[in-house]
Amino acid sequence: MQTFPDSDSDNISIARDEKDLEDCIRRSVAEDTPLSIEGLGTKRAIGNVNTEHRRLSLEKLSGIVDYEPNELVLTARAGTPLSEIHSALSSEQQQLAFEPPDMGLVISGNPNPGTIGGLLATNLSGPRRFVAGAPRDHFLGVKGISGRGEPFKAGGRVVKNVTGYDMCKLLAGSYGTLAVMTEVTVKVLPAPETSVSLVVAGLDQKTAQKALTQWTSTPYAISGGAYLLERLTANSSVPEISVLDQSATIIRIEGTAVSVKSRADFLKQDLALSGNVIEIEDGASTSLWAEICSPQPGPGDCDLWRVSVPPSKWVHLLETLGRESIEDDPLVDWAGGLLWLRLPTDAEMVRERLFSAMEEIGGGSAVLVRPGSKERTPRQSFSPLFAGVHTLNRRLKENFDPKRILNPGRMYPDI
Amino acid sequence: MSQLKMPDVDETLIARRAEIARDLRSLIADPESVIDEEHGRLVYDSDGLTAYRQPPFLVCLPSSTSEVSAVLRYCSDHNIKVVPRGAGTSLSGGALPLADGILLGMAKFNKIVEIDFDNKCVVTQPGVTNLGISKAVDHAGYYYAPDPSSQIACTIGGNVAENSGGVHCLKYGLTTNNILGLEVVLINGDVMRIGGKHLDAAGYDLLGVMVGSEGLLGVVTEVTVRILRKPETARAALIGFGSADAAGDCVADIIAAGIIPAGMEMMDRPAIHAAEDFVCAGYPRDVEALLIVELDGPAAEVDDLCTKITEIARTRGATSTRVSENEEERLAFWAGRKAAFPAVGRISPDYYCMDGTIPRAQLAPVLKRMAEMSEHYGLRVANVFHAGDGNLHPLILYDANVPGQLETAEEFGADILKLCVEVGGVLTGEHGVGVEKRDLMPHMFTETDLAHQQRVKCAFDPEGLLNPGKMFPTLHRCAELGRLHVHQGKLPHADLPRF
Ligand SMILES: Cc1cc2nc3c(=O)[nH]c(=O)nc-3n(C[C@H](O)[C@H](O)[C@H](O)COP(=O)(O)OP(=O)(O)OC[C@H]3O[C@@H](n4cnc5c(N)ncnc54)[C@H](O)[C@@H]3O)c2cc1C
Repeated sequence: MQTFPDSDSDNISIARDEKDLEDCIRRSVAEDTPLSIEGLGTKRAIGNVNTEHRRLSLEKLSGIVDYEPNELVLTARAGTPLSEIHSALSSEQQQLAFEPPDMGLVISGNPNPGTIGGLLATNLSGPRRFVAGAPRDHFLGVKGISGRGEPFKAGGRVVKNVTGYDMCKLLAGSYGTLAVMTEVTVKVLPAPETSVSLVVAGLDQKTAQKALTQWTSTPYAISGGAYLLERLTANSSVPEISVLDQSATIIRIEGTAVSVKSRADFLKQDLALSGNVIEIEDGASTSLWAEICSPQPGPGDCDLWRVSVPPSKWVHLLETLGRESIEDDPLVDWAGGLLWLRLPTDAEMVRERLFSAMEEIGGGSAVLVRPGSKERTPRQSFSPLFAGVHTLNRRLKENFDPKRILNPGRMYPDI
Repeated sequence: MSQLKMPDVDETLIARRAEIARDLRSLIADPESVIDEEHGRLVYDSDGLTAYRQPPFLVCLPSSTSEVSAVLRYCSDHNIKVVPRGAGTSLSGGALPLADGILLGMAKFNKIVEIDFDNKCVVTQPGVTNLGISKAVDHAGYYYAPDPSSQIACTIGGNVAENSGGVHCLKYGLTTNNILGLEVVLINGDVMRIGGKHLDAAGYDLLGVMVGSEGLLGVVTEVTVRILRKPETARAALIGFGSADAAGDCVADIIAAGIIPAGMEMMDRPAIHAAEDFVCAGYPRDVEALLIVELDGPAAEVDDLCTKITEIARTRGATSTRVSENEEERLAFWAGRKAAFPAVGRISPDYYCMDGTIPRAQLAPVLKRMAEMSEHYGLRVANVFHAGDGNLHPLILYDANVPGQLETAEEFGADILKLCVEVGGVLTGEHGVGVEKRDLMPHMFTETDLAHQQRVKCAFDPEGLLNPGKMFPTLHRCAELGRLHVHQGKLPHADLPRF
């Protein structure tokens, strides 16, 4: 174990192997010293990272352990950079179907997709979410060490497995507050041969919402549905989009060349009812969806929220929230199910309005992925839970991390 | 019946049956929904795993969330065990009653609450059947994807509890990938909503934990499921092979070609013959393995992939290949597979259906080892197999009237499941642990692994009143599990008594 206790702010332990990690956690349990768990630190802006806590880095617990393309599974140590996994997969024409966003880009404008462990711990997914699911849906097996200092495993290396509780789901999106993952197994899938995007320009929000609902209700297996307001289209690096000068309602079709062509032909007829249809071919289409997947941070001084809502309710949410509460144009993804919202930084009233608006439209969840100001902590970065659900969350925390060693307060003050 | 150790029965409670029935009647609008007389209780004495039978202490059939809440709170206050039940088709004994436990039947929760096409979901009560959901949205061209063979009977609540699969899970996922929200009542009577019509929920993934929790964490009183648009078209290929190896290789090649069929099923010779004798599906009899590969989606894509798959089959030496030309033919291909269980039921007085998962590449060696075991135990076995995702369903043929044969079949079955784990697979792919595989759990998990699972239980049901005796081979007290033993470096619960 390398430790650099030189200064309080640089107080970090770097685990070289599972044994190191176990020792470190056990020591922290014994000494009652909380840890702040990190991979490559790309998601440090999400939730409350307590800078006074000792950092525990998993960066060195890295490497693909086993990848069997024919079994559609990949096992890697938790600190493996996602870039390494992406390149291993793409050499076999495979992929993580849930399209992980690059939070490096979102947070700082510099690409860095982080580690596989960090991705699973935050459960962040991209545009394909509404058809392919999130990391949770592809997370097959895990080895880890709980806040009790005990190594354990759950799940397995096969897709169909109901042996015991689905502990992978419990750890997906738990932000390192229950256990530190050391090795993970994920399901991988063939990458589509090609893709095409169809765009209709100039639709207003209500029309766009109806259109997205309608297009994704066809049997043509649409795997992306987004709405970019004017300012966002202007900033796009895809020429077909940046020249528009108005909003863009976009859908994506992926699959074999034959299939994509035939579906695009059918869909173009549907879309033509709403306006002129612009077709964006494979390469540009891929760039466009990469932009949608990982939106740029935008103006430095606003809070960037990621809000999951019932797909038919995003306009209702924006209306309830009020135009004046929003700093910049929102980005709509997941065929309406996801909003990237830029809200005034640290404006408690706006935040409260967002939470109550979600309740009013029939449910949702929100995560502050990039605060505009660095100062104010702790801040409320996750939408509140219903009372009973919160109690259950707390009891799970108590059972897995009774001494509150692992990322305490990262998600909620008592979790 | 073979021996099964269940939690100690609280005899004092049994003596209070009439009194407790009276109390329960005061909590429920319809007094006939509490059943205490013997005949009525006998109806519920087993589920789909009929080798085990136990009439429940009492049966209670609530019809609203508030009734469920009141009953559970009563049970919690009086320390009474509860076993939830849907349609009772569990093949792992998940709904097996307890002599001193209330059987909470969810059959009256049989209404669909809301159909929301805009958000592509259905909100339903848990007692609605799996097929009932698809039927309710069929007119608009939608369906609910997970399709267990038991779908005309099994309930969505049971599906949630077992994380049920089906032949189309390869492409569309298991129950867990198709559930958006739940209303759950905890043992203390608290009602909570988890998830909803949005995709990502806040906090820990309680939805993911509830699905597959086998009725041990809470009672599901409402379910929001995702519905899908029906594919434009579907076609199936029926491919025969001279050896299981060749069929296994063909499956691997299809996946390697980047094709994820909607379903990819395999049957071995005994299963093919039993099915063909029963329904005359037109299966070839002179093959060792038969694949049914179904493709669905846009017509152009399906036609394209059918050609690719026939080509792959040919290079792998398929002895016969047919691709369905119309819906009637496609359904005929499936008829044999769908009737495989009853078909095997005709050639043997009894059969025992196993459910392990293995890595696909292990298929041929596992079939070979199974044939050896069959020889060793002197019992025949027929195999149907979700080949696409490595989920095996060996059917062990036996005769319960021959003394000792059930026990032999169970031993054989346990050996198969241990083999699955040995080759890198798992004990159960879709039927659940229940009582059936409970005692095999230590073959897959260490004490510490299991203790962590049980800590989930402790968060939801610290007194262990919901469905005890299922899933875990040993019942630990939550207080014991809560202790930290980090200084000794080892977890000492080996000395704890079994229940
Ligand atoms: C012929 C046949 C074929 C089958 N084929 C398949 C198949 O292809 N794929 C597959 O996965 N399974 C299959 N099964 C198994 C079975 O049908 C499934 O496990 C099904 O989900 C059970 O549903 P049920 O309503 O019958 O539940 P039950 O058997 O009544 O209960 C199952 C479990 O769920 C719990 N439970 C039920 N309702 C609730 C509720 N509302 N809240 C909390 N817990 C609850 C019970 O306590 C129990 O642990 C098959 C069974 C049979 C008999």
